[in-house]
Amino acid sequence: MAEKELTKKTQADVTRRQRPEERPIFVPAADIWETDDAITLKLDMPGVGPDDVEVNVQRGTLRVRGTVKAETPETVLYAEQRIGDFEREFAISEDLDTDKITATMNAGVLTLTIGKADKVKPRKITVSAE
Amino acid sequence: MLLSKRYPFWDIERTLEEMNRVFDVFSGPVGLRSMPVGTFPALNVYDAGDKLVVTAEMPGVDPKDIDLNVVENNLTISGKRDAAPEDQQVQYYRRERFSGQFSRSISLAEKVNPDAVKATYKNGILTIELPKAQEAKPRSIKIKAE
Repeated sequence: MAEKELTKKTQADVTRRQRPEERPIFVPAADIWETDDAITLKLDMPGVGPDDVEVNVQRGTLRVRGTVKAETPETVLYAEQRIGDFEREFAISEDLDTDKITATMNAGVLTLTIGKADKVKPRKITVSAE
Repeated sequence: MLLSKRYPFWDIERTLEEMNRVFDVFSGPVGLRSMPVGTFPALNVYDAGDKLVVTAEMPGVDPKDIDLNVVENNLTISGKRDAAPEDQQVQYYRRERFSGQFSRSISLAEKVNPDAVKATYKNGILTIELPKAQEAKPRSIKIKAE
């Protein structure tokens, strides 16, 4: 009896993150650029609809996940792309204000705009003459 | 800006994690596509019995900018995609997405009826349905017993 319990525990310890289905996970191609007051990320996630995308920010990590729901005929004649989901993580600096994130999903492209914290925005200091 | 000041090697670690995820479940490098770099859009061709279905992964393209041509059994997809703003004021960290003009042609295995081709663009995937020409459709031949 004791041995059985021990086996159970060991199995639980080594259990890896389970996925509901075994399908490939792709890293979406990204464009990242910075302007004076924000950082913008654009990620290519073809086949992902606006309701199938998940954006999480936790402890300095931005995680993007997109699920593809594709219905394609069974007989494949030629394939350059496999059907799979998308996932990518980015480390984000403390200088970004994670409360100021906007996300839009359009035509399979996810656009994320993260505002900079006020302290790092470029400021113009007016010089006053006395 | 995206770089964390506390941990300079975050990017290497992320890449390794991503690689691990990819290699963990499957034996082959599925994160990498089989076609040469810069191939855009990626195409799949399916046989749905009475029609051929071609899917093209082309996210972020305005449907008005897509040009589709069928000549006999040759299908050509061309157009353009403006991936990121061309602005001097902008500082880039990554430019991995395809940008510019593209054109791809494939010859289909069977004759199609060019007048009945339908194309839809949804969530960045262009799906082209090409009904097979009458002579290319599968026919079952009945055998008479004598």
